[in-house]
Amino acid sequence: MAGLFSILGFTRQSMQVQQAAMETVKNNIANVNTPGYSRLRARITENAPIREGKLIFGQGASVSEVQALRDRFIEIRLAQEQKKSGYYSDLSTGLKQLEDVFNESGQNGLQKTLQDFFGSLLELSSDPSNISLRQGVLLKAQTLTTNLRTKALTVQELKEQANGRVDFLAGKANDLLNEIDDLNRQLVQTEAGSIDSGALRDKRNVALQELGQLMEVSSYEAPNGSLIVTTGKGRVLVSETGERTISTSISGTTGTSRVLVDGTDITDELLSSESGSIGAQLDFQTNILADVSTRLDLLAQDLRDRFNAVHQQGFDLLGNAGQAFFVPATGTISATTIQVGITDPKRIAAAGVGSTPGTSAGPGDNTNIRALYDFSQQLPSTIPIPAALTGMTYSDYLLQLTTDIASQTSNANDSLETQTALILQLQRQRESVSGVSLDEEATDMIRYQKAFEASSRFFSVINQLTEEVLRLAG
Amino acid sequence: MRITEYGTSLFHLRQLDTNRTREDQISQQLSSGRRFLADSEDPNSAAEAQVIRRQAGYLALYRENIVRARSTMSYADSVLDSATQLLYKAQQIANQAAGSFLPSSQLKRSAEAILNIRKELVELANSSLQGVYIFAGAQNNIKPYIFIDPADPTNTNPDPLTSYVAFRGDNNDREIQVASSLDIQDTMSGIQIFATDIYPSPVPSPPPAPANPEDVFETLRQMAEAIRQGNIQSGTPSFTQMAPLLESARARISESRGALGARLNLIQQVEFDLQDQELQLQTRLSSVEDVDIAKSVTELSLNQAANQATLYAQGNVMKSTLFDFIG
Repeated sequence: MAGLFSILGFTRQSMQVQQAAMETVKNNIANVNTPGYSRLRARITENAPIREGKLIFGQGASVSEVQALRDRFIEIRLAQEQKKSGYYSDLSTGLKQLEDVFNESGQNGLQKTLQDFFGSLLELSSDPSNISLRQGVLLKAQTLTTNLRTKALTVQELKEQANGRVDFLAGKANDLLNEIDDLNRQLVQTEAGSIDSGALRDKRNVALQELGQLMEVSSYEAPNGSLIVTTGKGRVLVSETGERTISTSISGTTGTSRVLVDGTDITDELLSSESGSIGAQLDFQTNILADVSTRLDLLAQDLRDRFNAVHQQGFDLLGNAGQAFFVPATGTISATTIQVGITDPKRIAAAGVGSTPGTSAGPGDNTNIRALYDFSQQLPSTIPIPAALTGMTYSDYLLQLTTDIASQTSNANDSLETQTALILQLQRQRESVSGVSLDEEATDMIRYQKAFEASSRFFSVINQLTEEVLRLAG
Repeated sequence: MRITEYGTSLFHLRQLDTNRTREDQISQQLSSGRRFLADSEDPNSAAEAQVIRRQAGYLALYRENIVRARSTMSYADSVLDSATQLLYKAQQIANQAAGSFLPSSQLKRSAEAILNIRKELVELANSSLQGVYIFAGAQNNIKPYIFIDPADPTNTNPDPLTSYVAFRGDNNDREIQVASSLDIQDTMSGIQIFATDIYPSPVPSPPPAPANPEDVFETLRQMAEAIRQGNIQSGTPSFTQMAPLLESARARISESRGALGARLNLIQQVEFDLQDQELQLQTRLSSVEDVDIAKSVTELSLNQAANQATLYAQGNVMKSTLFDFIG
């Protein structure tokens, strides 16, 4: 049986246990608003009892562990969903910018300028020798080529912006890799004595989640507590020995960003919806912007090739054979280089061939301008039609382009909305496990306070008993 | 499930954000009158709206063509009306001269009057609208009818009363599009109206007489010649030969007017059809693009109520904790 002095020792230990538990309450309350914080719990366990003869005496309690409460499964799900969220967030932002460029509801839509141009041809067909109508055709053609050029250049600017953003995001990813590596080192040292270093793990988790928003990463914990981070395809980014560096470069052929890990190109591995913000930027510029540029260039080239061919079959107001309407007349042409090659309205070849081959049918003839206008209704096939344009007019072609952009933007917005809702659910699930409830902390605080008060009262009673014994002995 | 302050605030913030976004969207819809401001909000409707606007754009162009064609055709109609009147007048003079026993001086005056009518008719045949000669076919930038001195084709100032009238235009009728699948001829060559053949170019010397026996200008000239010579029943040319030709010339011009009138009626009808189509397209565009104001206002009110409820709930839920009640 324990003596009075021994009981005093147990009581002191009991008060220390409640005090330690109170410490966790203090820390939890302090971090109630800290993102990624996992609440602490003091694990109070009963000390092993001692046996004296037939009797067993308890030895009080002690704090065996301070636990950070977290659900690893939820943390992993959250990281997975956040990389999709990062992807759709960046993709949605980029597509909105692209959609603004191709906004057809305004006055500067490409469809409208194209239709205005063909409309001016129809007007001219009703009075082919009218100079002001001819001037109108040139003006509308210039508006069309300027609009086409402006849009193509804006798409190029968006591509360059995406390059800058990839570079910025790669820098941010490097900072996070560096932070995870630092935290790995601190954590290995701290947990060398099997102590759960909750605060460092929380920080590392937050860094990992932020990294997950930037690119697809996988992670697992090494036996010594280090977090090993790899790309989605298993390329190591952070190991027990340190982190790798992510760098970017611009492709000489396409002008788009390439992402490298220690010099190895991993761009193609990042082109998926799992690849966070960096993947979104790469996808945006490599697939979406490049596709839009190609389609605009095809339109410019086909206009030049086939419109010019028909124009050159006709005769102008002065009786000369038609010249190239769009220039450059030969060689490479793109949406950024196409221009109207005629400045004199009389040079528009509105008339067809007269009764004598090689001569004009006359200034009042509208045969050729009608043939040119027919481009807007149905595409003639004297020159092979590119596969992308087969069976559709230029207006249909542009409608398909703008509808594709609108649909992609809509899909990205919807996916972002879904991801945001999903992440909210996961965050709430995480909060229900790891978050701090002030009501709960207040209850714990009262619980530990009362236990402390009881222990101290007991200490006081034992102290009085000890004094009485000493007085009797004295 | 454990409820924490941070978890609750996340939920409420999300709700507030959703409500505010929707409120902003409805407010923009109401102020713009449009159901969607960006194509991505409803890609299918946006595409449909583009197609409708494109169709409406073409209809507007067709209407402009109709306005222009009507202007040309109405002008041609009024010119042909004047031409018919002139020929009628020429017929009256010729009939009067042929039916009365007039002295040769009087016959000469009648012949001169017919030649003056011929000159006026040439002026009418050279009518132009905004610099474009309306009966010249495709060669509409040059005066189609000129006088040629039979004795000297190089004479730049021939006597209109004795000269041939040569046609320098062509028979190229222009068609313009006035509906998606309807072209209409808006010009009429002098060949059809005045039965004039295209004169050889360059003009040979001596210049040939006009080849077409029904050439109205040559008919008038020969009628004048017949009257001047007093050839009523016999002689070449004679009134008896020329009178039916003059009548058929007047009938031909009247027929041309009739054809023009029919085309004017047709484009009038087409214009009505286009107006109907435009109205239908506007209605369709409105149903695709325009916001349903009553529905949106109701939705806005509901959304505002939901937003206020969220704010109230958040304010109350987060206002107190157990700490407020610990002495």
